[in-house]
Amino acid sequence: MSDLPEYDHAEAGLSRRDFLRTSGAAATAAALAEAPLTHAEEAPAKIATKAIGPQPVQLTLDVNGAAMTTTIEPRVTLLDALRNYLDVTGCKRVCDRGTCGACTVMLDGKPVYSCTLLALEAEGKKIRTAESLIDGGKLDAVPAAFVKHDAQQCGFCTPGFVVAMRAAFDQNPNATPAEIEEALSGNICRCGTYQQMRDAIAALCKNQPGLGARRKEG
Amino acid sequence: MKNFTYYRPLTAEQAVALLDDKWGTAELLAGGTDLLDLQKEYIAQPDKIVSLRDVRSLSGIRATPQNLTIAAGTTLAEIAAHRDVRRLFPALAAAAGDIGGPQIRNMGTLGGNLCQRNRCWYFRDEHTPCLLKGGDKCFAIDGENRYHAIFTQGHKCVIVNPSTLAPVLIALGAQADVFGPKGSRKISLAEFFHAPSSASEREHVLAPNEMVMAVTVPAAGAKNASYEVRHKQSYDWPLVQAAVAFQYDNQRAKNVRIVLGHVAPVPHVAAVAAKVLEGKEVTEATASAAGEAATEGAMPLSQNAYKVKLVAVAVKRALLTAAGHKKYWEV
Amino acid sequence: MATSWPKKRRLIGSKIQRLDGPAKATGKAKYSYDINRKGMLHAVLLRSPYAHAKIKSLDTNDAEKMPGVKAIHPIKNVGDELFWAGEEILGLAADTEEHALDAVRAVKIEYEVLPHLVKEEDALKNDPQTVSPVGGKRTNVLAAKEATSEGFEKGMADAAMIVEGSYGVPTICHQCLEAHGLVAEWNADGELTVWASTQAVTATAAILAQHFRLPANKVKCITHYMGGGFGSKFGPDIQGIVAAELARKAQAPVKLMLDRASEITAGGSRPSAYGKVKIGATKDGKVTAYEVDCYGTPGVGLSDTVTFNALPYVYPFEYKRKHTRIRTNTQLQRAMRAPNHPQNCALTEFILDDLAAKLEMDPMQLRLKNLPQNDANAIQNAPHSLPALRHTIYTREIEIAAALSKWKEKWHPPGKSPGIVKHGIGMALHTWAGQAVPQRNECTVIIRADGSVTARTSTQDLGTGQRTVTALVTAEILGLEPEQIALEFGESPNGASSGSGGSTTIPSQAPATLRAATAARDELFAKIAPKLQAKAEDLVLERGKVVDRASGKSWDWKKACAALGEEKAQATGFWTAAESNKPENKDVSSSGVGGVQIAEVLVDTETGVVRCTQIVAVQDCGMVVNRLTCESQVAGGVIMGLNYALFEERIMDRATGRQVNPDMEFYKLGGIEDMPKILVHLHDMPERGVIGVGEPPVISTHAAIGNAIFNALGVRVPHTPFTPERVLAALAAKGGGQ
Repeated sequence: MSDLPEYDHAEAGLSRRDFLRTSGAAATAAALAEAPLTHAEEAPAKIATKAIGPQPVQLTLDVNGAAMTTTIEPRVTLLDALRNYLDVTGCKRVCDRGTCGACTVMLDGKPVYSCTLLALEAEGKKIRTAESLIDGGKLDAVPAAFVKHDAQQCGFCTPGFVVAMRAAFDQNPNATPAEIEEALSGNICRCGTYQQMRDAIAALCKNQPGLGARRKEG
Repeated sequence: MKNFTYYRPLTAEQAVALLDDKWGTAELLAGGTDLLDLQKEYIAQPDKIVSLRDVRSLSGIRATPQNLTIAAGTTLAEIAAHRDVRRLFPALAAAAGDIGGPQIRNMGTLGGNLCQRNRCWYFRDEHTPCLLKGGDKCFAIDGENRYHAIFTQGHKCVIVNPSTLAPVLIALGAQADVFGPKGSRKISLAEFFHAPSSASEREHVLAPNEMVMAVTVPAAGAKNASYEVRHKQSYDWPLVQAAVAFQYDNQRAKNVRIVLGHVAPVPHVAAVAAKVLEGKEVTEATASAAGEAATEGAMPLSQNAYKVKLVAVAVKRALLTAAGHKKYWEV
Repeated sequence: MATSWPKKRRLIGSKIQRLDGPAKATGKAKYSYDINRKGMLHAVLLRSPYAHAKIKSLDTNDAEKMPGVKAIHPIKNVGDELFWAGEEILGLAADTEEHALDAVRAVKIEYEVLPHLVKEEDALKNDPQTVSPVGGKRTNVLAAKEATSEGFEKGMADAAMIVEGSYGVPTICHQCLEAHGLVAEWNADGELTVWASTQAVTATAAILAQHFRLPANKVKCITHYMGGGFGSKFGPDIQGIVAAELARKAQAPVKLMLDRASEITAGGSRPSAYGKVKIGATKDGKVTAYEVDCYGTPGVGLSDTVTFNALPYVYPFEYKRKHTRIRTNTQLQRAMRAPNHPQNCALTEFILDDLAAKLEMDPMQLRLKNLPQNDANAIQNAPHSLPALRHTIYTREIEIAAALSKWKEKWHPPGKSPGIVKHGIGMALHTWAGQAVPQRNECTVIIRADGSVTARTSTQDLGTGQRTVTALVTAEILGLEPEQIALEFGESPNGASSGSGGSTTIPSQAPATLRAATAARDELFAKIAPKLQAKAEDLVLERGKVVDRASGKSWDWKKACAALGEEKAQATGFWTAAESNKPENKDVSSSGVGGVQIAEVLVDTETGVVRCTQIVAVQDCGMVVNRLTCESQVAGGVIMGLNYALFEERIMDRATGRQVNPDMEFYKLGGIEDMPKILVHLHDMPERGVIGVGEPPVISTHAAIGNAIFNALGVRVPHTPFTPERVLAALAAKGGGQ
């Protein structure tokens, strides 16, 4: 939950609590289950976990900085919650199987497939869609580059690509074109706008200083 | 998909308490990239979904001088980017870093990757009653099997195990920490996988109410590499994969392990190939010989004999990569 | 009065950014799939799981009682025979999509399962009679079409060199990213509005009007944005009609969009073509005869899977051609971006390189030697037509492509590339029409007193950039900038227009826009001249202003328009094929393009993996209107052709009769990392007027790639997609891998 300490999972390794559970110095593997629970936040195993659903439940999502509330069954994906229940339609449903990227949104800054995420799983996380990349008519650098270099035709895949690219530059403002292409490897375009996308990528990579700063906070 | 009750336990104990002792009625939810697909196809129709998102003990990577422990909820992206993974186990970083695309890697977890269901298109079609869904035949054997197993001897179901991490972890001698109602146990990754042939079996040996907590990889200083042959450069499944690990003492390969992925219902340990290389220097000639030897025992199906040649090439290239040779195939 | 393009062109031919780019790139553009109407229901279809079956029983009682169900509409009934897996049986609407999916699964239906046939090669061995009767007969193998030219026998006899081969392309699917479907809403007056994902706005409205027996003006189709058609979306289809029926029954708006598996299995396919080809030539490379015996499947339908009269393709050889259609228990094929031309191209261009190899000739030289000549008659009577210019166009395009691709440096005899990873270069030609259609296409331009301008048309922009073209042409005539033109697009009441098929939209619409803007301008002049104390005939438009040539006075645009007072200046322009053929309108729009593509590949001979490194596409399309979006169209077609060459294949299972890859996982499409460098060169020919270019660039790409692979390996990989498996098989057949 949001009041527990954040991990830097990739760098800091396990917390001390977890170290006690998994340390090679622990007596047996059974220590994993039998280690005494040492923190108040830990819910004792005996307390039943709350059941959510199957009937519709109220859910509030942080979408582009705004709290949006709806009532959905647990089986509703984040994609369908956004599109069908919250009328946030920038992310698209195409394959609905996590293979084409048209449903890409950012979740706490990371690009994910919203079609293979339950809406409930996104609770408490920051969801950002392509709609956040325009502010009163002014385009963020990434969609602006798409427009300038004509990296869209029918446009149905475009929001997914734009979000994936924006997330990539946010993560690494000094990304090379090859790194950005890798960041787009989970997205498919049927009209074939990749050549124009490469022009956009080249232009964005050249203008690197301050790329991250150009993104609107929200 | 069928509707369900959703749970968010905070501990492994709570999670396990929610699972049933038979497959089908309850499922663990990690990244969701496999489970939700299965649900949308009605292949999985659980009444209970047990989300692991808030189980803190499932996150983190910790290095000691002896080994690296990766908690099962670690994402593929986190594994691929981790400093110690990249330093000690370039095979693992490479394998994790090329699975799917960035979105998959941001969502998919180690535990999910090891426990995922197979990708056979007959299995995943609700309207095709194959062995794994309680039917009485395998549709791939006489059907469309270009992506299926080539090590088919004794198998009624000719899926390939879809995990790209598994061959690497097996080659590296990794162990899984598994937790269930009876407590914890360790399972060597080499014994973790299973060839299913009925609706009550899965691609691994866990009981329906067990879960992977972490995987520990011994930091034995082995040279290691993973090589995939893929049709597409972007998001695609490997056609075949070879994962190799060996000690390299005075230009002599010791404790050679060669494990093939995506060619058999379980990751395929190419023991003969490892023996062929054992004690030798890794050269183009010895790597080729090991590659050929790795195809021993292959009994391909009607459409996938091409994978046999790919196995030989993948093993050769993985060995040459691990030994630090120039990658002649990159121009 | 004659119509013509302005001699001095400021905007036409330049690069203008797509006006709807910002909306698309930020997810603000609303497609049919995005429309959420108040009280809207979600509908799904029940489809046959079997490739051939009869409905034995059908009971919807349980389904009707499921939560949220509001209406059910039957399509098929008990006793009906179904002919392909995916065939539609009924539609059901419920308050949420989840409830609709639950309910459709509660329909109780029993089938009598019948024998099916889904693979072409099976029908050649045995005609199992699994499809619907045609002329009283159920045969799967239709009588072959055959034709032989007079000089064929002699031509083949005269050949010093004869080469034979078998080549083929499988059935592929459109894979529009936005699925087929629409939102249907009735109002209290019995009028129907649909937001349809369609490439034919007026036809969609008309078909619905016909179905519901309504006057045309009672049905409105709205398509502001649509996510891809590629030839598969020319009407409401069964799902659109069912959605409207459900909406009427439930008295609520209904959204019915196909899921991906249905989109692939029921939303359209490009049919297969497999053929044995034989070609004869003189020792120095003059082709004397060409013979093809080919077959393919239009699914349950009856269409040819090649353009029969264009075999051989592009080149004027003496011929003997035979085509057999094999009906299978799969969906009806639909037009797909340059229908049947890619198949023709495969059956012609592959054997040319095989012949060149046997003759030890550079295949570019072989082609130059065998190009169709400029037709003497056409030179006299229609000097800007393709027959009059084809030799000139192809030689020039080949010259340009050769220079851009550095063919001279890079070409080597087939197989003579050293190393494990082999380099290859190959080429192919194509042709297309792309003319104005017989039907009327209209555009209306309105100039208001506040200086605002609107261009209104019912036509659709499926990503072609037609919206921006319309703004560009209007702005050109009115001395304004494209962004100043407000566009009303894609609503059927906005006037007459035709579907975007055959690459006919720009040659039909742009002249209509030209006329409308010109007439609106003239009406503006007529209305404001008195106020400006000028004569209408002395007024001209320069950039941003109205100028009186007689006095030298000028007014900026807004000031001049203010002189309209309470009025506006409005005109509707139209265009048809007949208009384009009138002598006074010559060279406004025309028809007939060529096109040359050169592909380079690297083939890993150990793994069989092909990587395409560069494609040069030289394309003529008459007068380029928006250079930016035109180049995008060409590059996009090339990428579709590359996918055809390397990745796409519909795979049917013999036993179950079902497609095993109705998805985007194993039905493969390239991502950005699979893409070569694409060099597009537009071969401008403004004297020919506007010609459509949406389709031609997709035609020859796979053939250029196939020829490049042949050049790399010295052995032919005869079928697309050129997968590692097929490449290794070809190498093995040659003998011993590398």
